[in-house]
Amino acid sequence: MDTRDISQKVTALVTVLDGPYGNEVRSLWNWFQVECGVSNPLAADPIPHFSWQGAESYRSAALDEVVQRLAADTRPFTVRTSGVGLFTGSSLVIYIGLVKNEPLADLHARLWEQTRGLAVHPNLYYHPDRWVPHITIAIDPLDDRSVACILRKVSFLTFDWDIPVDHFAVIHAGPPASLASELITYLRERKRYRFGG
Amino acid sequence: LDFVVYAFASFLDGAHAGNVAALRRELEDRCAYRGIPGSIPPHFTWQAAESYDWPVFMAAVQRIAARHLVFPIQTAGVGMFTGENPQIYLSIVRTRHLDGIHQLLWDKILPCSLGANLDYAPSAWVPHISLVAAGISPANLACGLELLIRREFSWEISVDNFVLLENPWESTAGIRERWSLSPETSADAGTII
Repeated sequence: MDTRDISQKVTALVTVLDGPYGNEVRSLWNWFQVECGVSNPLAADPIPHFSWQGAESYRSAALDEVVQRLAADTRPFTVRTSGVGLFTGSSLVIYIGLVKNEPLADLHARLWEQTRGLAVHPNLYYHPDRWVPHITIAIDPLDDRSVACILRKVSFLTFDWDIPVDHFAVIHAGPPASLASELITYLRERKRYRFGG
Repeated sequence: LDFVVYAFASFLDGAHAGNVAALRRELEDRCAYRGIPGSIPPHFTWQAAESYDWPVFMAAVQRIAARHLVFPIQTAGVGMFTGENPQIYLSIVRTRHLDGIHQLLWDKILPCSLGANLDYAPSAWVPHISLVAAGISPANLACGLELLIRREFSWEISVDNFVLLENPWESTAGIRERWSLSPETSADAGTII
């Protein structure tokens, strides 16, 4: 691998939630902050999105070419939400689940196959046989009171969203959003690849 | 005629069925939830319908069971079907192998089904193991979730059967039929007819 080509900042390949569903997620984050005392979730995850994969770094020029080509060959489709999920254990994640339907699973598998050689330390939770597509709405550190508050809010809502999937985006880690969140990585969208098909 | 709903499902392996049963008891005892499924062993459902063309259905399932080996499924934490009546379950990861079997079953069984529930169609399926099916309110929600959220639910569960359940959520629940998959674990887990 040509190390001159490696980006140390690429964090994830994602689809950003634009429009009403992005606003819904931002509203939830705001609500959690105000009503549940969750500290600055916007800084932890400022871009409503779901991730296709993540890695410590990528060969960025090669990645650009592969993702560009795959996006151009893919027709936009929609994916439906499936309620709320929790990755439980020592590191809690609360999310809105997505149905892993055939277009989503197929595209994810193709992306994985075509980019795995370009990633340094890929996150294996994104392997096609482990991937649980999701939109993160809260992450640790969360105390029990905050978790209960968040879940009391979302458990009785209906999430029947049909989310348009019409692009890939590369998200990089960036500087902290503010002094108050200096320990939390700030995410920044770097490039978007529109689907063609 | 009595109304019957059928669930075409798979029971969990013994160890994990025991874990789920214990978890359900704990939720019931500590949080006083209703709607804890009890009379039918822990399972996950591939398809639900009001009836089937029985000779065609039985032959199709027998053929599929005979040609498939025991395979693993993975759980990945806790899920909730949200809304007016939230339900709590363990999430099952949709792997390529699991999806392959589900698609095959759907293709072969749907044509001989009546009143199939489209929530189980491949485009909508959320495979899961139910923990609490009813009785969750804003007041008692936290109890169950506090009990669950710091535990690891990354289980690998062995699946060696298909079952046909009658009215799985009712007091009249019953097991109508059971089929065994081939007992060997497949190195080539992709055997699909």
